Amino acid sequence: MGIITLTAAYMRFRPLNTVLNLLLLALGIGTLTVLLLFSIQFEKRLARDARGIDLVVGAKGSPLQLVLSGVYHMDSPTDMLPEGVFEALNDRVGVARALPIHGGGRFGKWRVIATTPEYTSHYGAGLRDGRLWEASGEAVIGAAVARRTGLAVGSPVAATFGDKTVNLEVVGVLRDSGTVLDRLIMTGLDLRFPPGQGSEAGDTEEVRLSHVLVTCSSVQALQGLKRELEGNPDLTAASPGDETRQLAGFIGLGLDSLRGLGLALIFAAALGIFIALYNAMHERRGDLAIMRCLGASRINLMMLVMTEGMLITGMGTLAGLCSGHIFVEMAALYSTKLHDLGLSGLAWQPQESWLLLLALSVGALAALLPAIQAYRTDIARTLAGI
Amino acid sequence: MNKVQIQPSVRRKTVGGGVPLVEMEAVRYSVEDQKILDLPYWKIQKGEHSLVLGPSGSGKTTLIHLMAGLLRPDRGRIKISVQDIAGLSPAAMDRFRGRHIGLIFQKLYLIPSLSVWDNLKLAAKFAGLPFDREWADSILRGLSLAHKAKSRPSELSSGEAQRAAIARAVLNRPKIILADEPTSALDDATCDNVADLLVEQASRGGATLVVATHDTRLKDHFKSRLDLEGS
Repeated sequence: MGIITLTAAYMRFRPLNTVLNLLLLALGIGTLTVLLLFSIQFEKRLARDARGIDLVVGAKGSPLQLVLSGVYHMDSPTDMLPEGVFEALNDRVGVARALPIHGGGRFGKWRVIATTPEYTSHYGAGLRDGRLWEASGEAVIGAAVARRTGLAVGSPVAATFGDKTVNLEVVGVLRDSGTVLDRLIMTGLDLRFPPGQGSEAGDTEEVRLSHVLVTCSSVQALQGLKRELEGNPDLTAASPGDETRQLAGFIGLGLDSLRGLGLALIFAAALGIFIALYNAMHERRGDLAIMRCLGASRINLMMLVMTEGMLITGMGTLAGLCSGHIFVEMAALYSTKLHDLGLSGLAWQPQESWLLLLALSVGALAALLPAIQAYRTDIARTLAGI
Repeated sequence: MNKVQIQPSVRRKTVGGGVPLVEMEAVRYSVEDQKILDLPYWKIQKGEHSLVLGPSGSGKTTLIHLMAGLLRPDRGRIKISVQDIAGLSPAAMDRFRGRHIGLIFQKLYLIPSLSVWDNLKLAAKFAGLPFDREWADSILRGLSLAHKAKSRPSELSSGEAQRAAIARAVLNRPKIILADEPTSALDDATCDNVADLLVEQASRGGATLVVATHDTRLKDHFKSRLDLEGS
């Protein structure tokens, strides 16, 4: 019969009180966990996927859409680029690297792009199985695609690009890189469309590009290229850094409001725990007095109340963290948008330790006054019924 | 019955010789200058069963609380087993109480969220003693409560609850059992039964028993008696 067993017995004795306090706290912690997972993974994702890309060049349109579709593959391309843009950029002085992309393909909820093998080396992704694509009709899949779809080397993939379907065969699986590659299916730029889809039967078609990802050799070169492209009526050049900062700003406003709601829920739960323990101290004055008669010290009684507060807080926090992670994972499984964001509920973020600390501190604070009350219980007066 | 007046408010019946288990000397307790108890001298021998009899307001409960170390006297000495408990620190008093004193009150104060068995375990836990399952089991059997060991206090009859409180008080083999009004709310038959059980359980563990009550029906169960008069 330890303090925890005794506390658990008290909690079981008032199940409704206990469950309501647990639920309220779990709701607050769960909300904050979801926000934390979302914002951290989103920011990390933005930073990782845009690393080393100075400009995204695409057809005339929204710069944000260009970045979202060309770098993060979360949106459809604005349009296709005029011919010769890639070659011009690739040959330009001051451009260290130009990566051609034909985006907008789909395989179920997974994005399919046509590009060169150099695209994988830009992100430093190694192969887990097989090899990179060499011939038309060959594809390489990211680690998350392989994990969640069960696709492996030799698996067929029917990818759609608009109203056209391309039959691909997986020839390689990439290792986990923590980048956009994990969630992509990649193939070469020479797509072979089956007959009746606007091409000759079995003909290989060099597709038009939707984006060119440009890495400049210097800041001066980047500024010069930007100026030059700004004057081009057919092209848009967007800086991933500028666009994502703007995007994060918009999202941040919404996240801040939800964060406030989550904190309010936690403090409401703390208030609930405080009220429950405070009332319990009145109901249990006799119990506390008899415990002192049995040899319990004042500190024992204080610890008993603190343990109850901390146990409710600990359980509520654990339930909140678990439900937050489960919610994020389920949301990523069932929402294509969130899935494209690369959101996962299976990863523990170090910042969650702060959330745990916050919840336990709030719980301790809520239990402190009732615990002091327990410490000060006047046994003689209580037993005499005064 | 030979009563010796030792203070205007306190009378005692003589007790036997030898080293006393309880010795109270010049004990005075007051609240806001109002005297609640003034006891020049009282002693109880080891294994003795003593009745403290007096009307409401005579200081019976105060006497029990003083002996249990729940209250500290304004002055005087209270020795239990040669230990002057008035000189113990609060923490030491808590330990002493848990190990050497068994307490029973009119209101039983069984922990409602725990079974009878767990109430007994709790008594051992707070006294810092190992829980002797066989001893606990034999106490419950002796009190015809073995079949209710897993029951919560709310599932017990008033008589069973009273016996459970007695079981908890004797579990740690205390040197002294203090009972405050244990029979006041009981009918005659139950009163006799509880008194017999108290005496029986105290004798079984070799404990000294002090019962404070205004219930004159208990007179015949005790050979030794301290009479307190109302102020």
